[in-house]
Amino acid sequence: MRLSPDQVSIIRQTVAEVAGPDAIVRLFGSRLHDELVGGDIDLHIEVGPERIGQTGALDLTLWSRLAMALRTELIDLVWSVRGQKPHAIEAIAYREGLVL
Amino acid sequence: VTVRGEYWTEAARLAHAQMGQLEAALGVVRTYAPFSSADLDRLAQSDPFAEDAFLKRFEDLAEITTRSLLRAGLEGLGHNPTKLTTVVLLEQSVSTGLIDEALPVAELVRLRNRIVHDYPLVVRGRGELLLMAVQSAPTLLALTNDILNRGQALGLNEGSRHER
Repeated sequence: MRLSPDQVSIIRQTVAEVAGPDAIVRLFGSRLHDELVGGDIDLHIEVGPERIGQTGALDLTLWSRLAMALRTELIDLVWSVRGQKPHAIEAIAYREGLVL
Repeated sequence: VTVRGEYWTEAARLAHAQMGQLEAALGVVRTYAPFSSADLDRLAQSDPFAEDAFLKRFEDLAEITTRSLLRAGLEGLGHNPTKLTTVVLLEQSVSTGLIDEALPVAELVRLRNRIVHDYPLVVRGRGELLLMAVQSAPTLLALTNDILNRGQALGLNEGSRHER
């Protein structure tokens, strides 16, 4: 995994503050692979059903806070609501993602 | 030869023009909020191009305000804004007084990027994205106005040359 311990800590804390303590964040995509270079930080955020209809607004807040805290805009966020059928990209994140 | 502040004059002119465009489009679409499937159908029937026009105008003003205007402001204040990442651009804009806070501006950057990259490929979030843009439009307009005023207060007068 190509994230530093400090980056992981910032991501976990920021996700909990913005999306709630029961939100689960997974890293997926190229940053999982040590042999690669560069690439976006792809994060999958899983929230409870009480967040239905809120993920759009949460996305703006979370992305902004992560971008400024991690000092990069190369962050991609994918959201899932627990219990809802995942889209293709969400299914990949569930299958390959590493819970942070 | 580029005179310092020249870019600001041009960016400010574009911002003023695009603010008017966005305000006009906002007047059309916001009466259909909150954009359920039925709302979107009614909007498509009354004006099939209104949704696209509004999003395009939002996207354009967001680009002008959060990139062109801030870069031009920094250039006019003697900084070198070339090749700045968004994060550094916002940090420098705060430190020079062009904006108060980075986070609200970063949210507009994110929304603009989502409109550009998500729409209309991700149909599931279409109404939600449109609603967010409608709700954020007054914030974007106010931010643009605020940056223009701050620029003027910092000596970046439109139509005049700023020399240091």
